Amino acid sequence: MSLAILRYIRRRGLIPELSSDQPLSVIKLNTSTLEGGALVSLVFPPNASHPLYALRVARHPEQRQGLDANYAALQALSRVPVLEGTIPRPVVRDAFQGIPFTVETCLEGSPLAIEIALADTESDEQRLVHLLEPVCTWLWKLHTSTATGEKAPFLPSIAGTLKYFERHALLPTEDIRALQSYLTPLQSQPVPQVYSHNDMHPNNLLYRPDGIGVVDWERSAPDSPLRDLFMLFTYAYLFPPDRIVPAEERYRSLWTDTTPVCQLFRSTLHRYMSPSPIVQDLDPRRAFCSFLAHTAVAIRETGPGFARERLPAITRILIAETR
Amino acid sequence: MNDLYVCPLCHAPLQALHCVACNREFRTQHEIPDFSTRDHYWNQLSPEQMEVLLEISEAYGYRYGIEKIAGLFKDPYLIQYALDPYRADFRAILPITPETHVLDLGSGWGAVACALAPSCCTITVADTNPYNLRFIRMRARQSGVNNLRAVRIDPLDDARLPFPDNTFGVVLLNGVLEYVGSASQDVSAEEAQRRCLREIRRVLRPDGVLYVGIENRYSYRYFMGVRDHSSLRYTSILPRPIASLMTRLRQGRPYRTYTYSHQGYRSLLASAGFTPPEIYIAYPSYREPRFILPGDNDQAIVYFVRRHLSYIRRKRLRHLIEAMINYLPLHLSGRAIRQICDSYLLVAGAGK
Repeated sequence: MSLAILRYIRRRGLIPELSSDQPLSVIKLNTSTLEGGALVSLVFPPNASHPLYALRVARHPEQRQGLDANYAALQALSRVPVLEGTIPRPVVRDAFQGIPFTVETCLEGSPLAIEIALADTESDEQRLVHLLEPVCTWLWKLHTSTATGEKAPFLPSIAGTLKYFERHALLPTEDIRALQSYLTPLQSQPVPQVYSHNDMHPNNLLYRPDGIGVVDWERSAPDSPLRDLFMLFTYAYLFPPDRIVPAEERYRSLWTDTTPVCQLFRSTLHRYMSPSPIVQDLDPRRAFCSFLAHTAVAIRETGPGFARERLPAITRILIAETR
Repeated sequence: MNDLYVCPLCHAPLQALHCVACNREFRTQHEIPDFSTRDHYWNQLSPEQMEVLLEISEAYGYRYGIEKIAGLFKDPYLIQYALDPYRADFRAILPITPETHVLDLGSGWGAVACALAPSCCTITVADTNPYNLRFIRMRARQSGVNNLRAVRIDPLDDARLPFPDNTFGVVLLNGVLEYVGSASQDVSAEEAQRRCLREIRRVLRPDGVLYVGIENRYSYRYFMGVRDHSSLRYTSILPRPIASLMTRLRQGRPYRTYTYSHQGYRSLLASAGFTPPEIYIAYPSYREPRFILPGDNDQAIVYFVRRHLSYIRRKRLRHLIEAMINYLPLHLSGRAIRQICDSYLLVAGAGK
């Protein structure tokens, strides 16, 4: 599909750099199949040492929601000066034989997930902080520059998540009731809205010596600024499967330990809780409950395998700490 | 639907699954046309286990059936293998559009077929195992897929496809070609594979393409002692006669699950009449093509390896590959990676 679309782009002359007659090559990347995630390929023009463009193709003709969200986000955020160079530039949006596709510029850099895995293998926590700190700073820039001043209900998907846990018997009923009792008060208190990436997985973050790059805006939407922050630490610090310290222990440590990563997490959180354009008006207990809610949603999105194995232990730790 | 089929033996049109030319009658079982002419059973699960799985999947859904039942009977990897939609991500290199008619040969549990169905006009799944075909039909029904049809065929060794000439735009052979030859003894394994490929070419449209997902005979894994399709170590990389001697001594049967180097695949496909194939490298493997690299672009291969080097946890291996891509000329690094990668994805035109 991707190659046929590239030939179509060339035939129509949509991207001048791809107009030569020499063959183009693509590297198909690893992308999620969940919720209509697109196929993403990096495009190598002839004799190029690195790819110039990223081609996104809907897996099914009717699944264009993610593509459109990504393209719209890139268009909107390309006008924000502080984000310049950290996100791809949108180039083309079109359809080939009913299959929607978009093209954006390809950002240089290696996936942060790889760097994190390496730091983790070597138990190098300073390196982990060195990797995550620029992301926290970048998130702050994104959120402060896109804050609308409006507020919206807190994490509407949490109710569905708890129902999902109940339906699949992933948690004992008393734990689900406890979760509901902690999270219900949050539901009534609206949270400020910012432009949220909503998929801060380290695979979507690019490490570069001069900063970071952020790709895959397919799930971006107005949301709570804490969602990005919690998601980043959940995926980058708590979830990776090959950790020496089990994820369950890390949940506890994140709120109490004085290790560099835990300190980074708490200092970033405090930044959001201090008076600012995106003030969260959170006390530590509410912040913890909020984290609990976002973690529950993240666990659900990670899939039933992980949930079945670790959800009960993690939830019990979080419930105990919340008390 | 019957006019979509021909007699697999004489290729004459069928009338209500009856061949007027050779007077052969074919049956329908569980609403699935059955063109098999001999007994052959291959599956991860036994017929009895499959009956249980089908019953539970009918009652509680195919996903529940696989997660709860198939995982109990077999390696838990089967769950991922049977359910993972990533397995169809090779679609990135295939010209599949909403007008394409696709044939999936050796469709297994239908993970690929059901993932591709919404992207194409029709998808035909063909397998020797009637239980798998019933499972796929159920899976399609439960997933809201209504452009899929299932057909039971003889092993591909026999090269008997019940479809007219020039029918399909894309034919998929994902993890199947290496087993072609193991269900027959009348010709060499290589000749059985060639015969099968010629038959596939017959049913391909003139502008159609064949997709093959398959292991590299000289994969680095085999040099590290990983067992190949014969269930023995090193038989893949040994000369065929020695591999055959080993399997005869250890298992009492000749070695017939042939894989090839990328030059070998080129020759095999050319000898069956296909155009020279585009070769891609699948990572981590063709079964789960998370990343797909262009096999003929050394710069892209080296770019990818350099970016993903950190994933290699074995320090010595990582340093070895790092040294290779840093100090060898680009074309030699690319060639070395191409020669020892785990598996290939091949896309060959019918060349009619």
